[in-house]
Amino acid sequence: MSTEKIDIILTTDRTMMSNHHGKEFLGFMATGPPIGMPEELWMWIAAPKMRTDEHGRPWQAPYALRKLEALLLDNGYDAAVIDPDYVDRYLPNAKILMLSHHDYFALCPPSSEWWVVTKNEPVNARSFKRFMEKTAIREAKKNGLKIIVGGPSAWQWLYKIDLWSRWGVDTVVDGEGERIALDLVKKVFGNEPLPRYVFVGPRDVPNIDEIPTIKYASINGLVEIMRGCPRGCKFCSVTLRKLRHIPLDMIEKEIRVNVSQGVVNGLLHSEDVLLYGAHGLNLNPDALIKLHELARRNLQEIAWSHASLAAIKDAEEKYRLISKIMEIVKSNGTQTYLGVEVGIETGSARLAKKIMPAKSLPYPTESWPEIVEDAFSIMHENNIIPAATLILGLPEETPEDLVQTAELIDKLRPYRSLIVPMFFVPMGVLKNKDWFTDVKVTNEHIEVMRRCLWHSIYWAEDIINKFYLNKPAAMPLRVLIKAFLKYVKWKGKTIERKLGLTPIETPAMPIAK
Amino acid sequence: MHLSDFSSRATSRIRLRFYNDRAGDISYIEYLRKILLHNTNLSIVVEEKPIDELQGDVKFLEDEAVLICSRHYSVNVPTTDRLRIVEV
Repeated sequence: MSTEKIDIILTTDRTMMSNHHGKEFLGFMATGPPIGMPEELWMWIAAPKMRTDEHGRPWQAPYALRKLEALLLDNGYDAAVIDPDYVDRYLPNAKILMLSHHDYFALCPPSSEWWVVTKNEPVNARSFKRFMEKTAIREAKKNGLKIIVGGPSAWQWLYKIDLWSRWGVDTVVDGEGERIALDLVKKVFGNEPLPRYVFVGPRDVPNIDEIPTIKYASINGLVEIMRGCPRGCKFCSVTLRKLRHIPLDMIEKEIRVNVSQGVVNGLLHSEDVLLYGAHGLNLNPDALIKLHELARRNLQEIAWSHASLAAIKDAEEKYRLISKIMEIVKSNGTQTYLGVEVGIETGSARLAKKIMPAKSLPYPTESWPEIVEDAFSIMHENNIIPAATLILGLPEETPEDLVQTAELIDKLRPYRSLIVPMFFVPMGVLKNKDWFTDVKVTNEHIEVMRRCLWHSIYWAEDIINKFYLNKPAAMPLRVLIKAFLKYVKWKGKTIERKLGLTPIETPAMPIAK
Repeated sequence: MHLSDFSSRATSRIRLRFYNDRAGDISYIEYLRKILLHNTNLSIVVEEKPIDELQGDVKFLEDEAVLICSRHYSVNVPTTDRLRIVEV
């Protein structure tokens, strides 16, 4: 019998409880099944074990768990984030097991796409299942342990009722957790029954003063600078939430928590970093400069989570702001580039108008393909390396839309970037729509997908060698990933031959840099 | 009756409670999925309780409620202004 005791364990499976070697983008490999190598090696690349203290407390943990931990500690509860390899020792005495995940069952993009293409279950879902099948959890359930699950993929439990039941999950919480988490915990401590499911609507999200400051380091120094997004894209769940800008002093406080615990790089998290401090969609150059100066003062390397392509174009054309921000970023003399995730979603202005009419603002939706190309050019010139997403199978998508998307990818060939096609998953206001996986994969989808593949292979080696894994310490990873790329190249060509497809050789010259 | 009825009445929260004689049976979620996924505006709480607690709960209703029940299942509940019964 364990003697160590924590009332509330906060945890998740290994694919989430990892800093991915300090390279956030490698975490995306956890959304795929092992390809061309054993699962253990794939997992080592995508999600190596997190360093812990002797109590199993991880050095870095997912930001959402850190927020919840801070909230519970601030309210006097005995709670801690525990590495998944160490939860067994605490389960016999715990009252609540709280879980969070980005993609519990690999139903979100890009996991769902990997799954459909390879017909193999991605490692994130495998790893989560292994975690939930632990004997220690089953035993603790018999002794009254309550399991509460949440996070951005909480909705997936609605499709997995058998596992919801089998694993004895008491409550599923969909939405921002600050308000509801305390209510649920109080119920457990008061021996009151828990609800089965809670959806936190936009009017019940916490205000800034209800959002706690993290007390321990987050993965790769992720720090939230905003919540919500005003662009209103129909496929996105974030846009349903009220927009809140986190004050600079709170951002700095959290960055300092990370730095004081040895996490010296930071990732500024927002659905659109360039909208920080904005009035609606009108950029606020002053707030953005202050934000980046603050980050520069405290961090060794700065990264952005997401930015919109329209804001990138707007920022540079109106204020030369991208150049100014990159001057600040590079001013420490060691940082040479900045990574970010951007959404192209479609190359069709017609479809863009239907599903994301505000994504192009302040520019008209009719010029969406040009906005994308201009933003890619600006990023290339400023050493911003985007990992771009496309959505396939959107409701009302036509073959012509896909042809336009394929043409846009060809135009983006000269710009250093990765482009990842993702299958439509019903989130946001489209979340009651049919799944893409019910839809037939058409020849046009295949054309878009293989264009993305060759575009990304074309640039991946350059990115790895010159930017992402260019330090001597990254050599083993660099070798493994290059071997993986060779394998993908070979496999891609084999499949193309099998399908009788002409190899894509888009004539494009990289812009010299 | 649609959730949008509540949304248009500026109700921001709704509680769906399933009275069930099989404790722990969550198969009703299957039928609820579409409704839950369709909703983006309201805060929703889904609960379940033993069927024998229905009468007592109706008696002490504090808020407006709608009782949806099968027409093949006879339910005896006290009548109150706060309760609307819909047979399906």
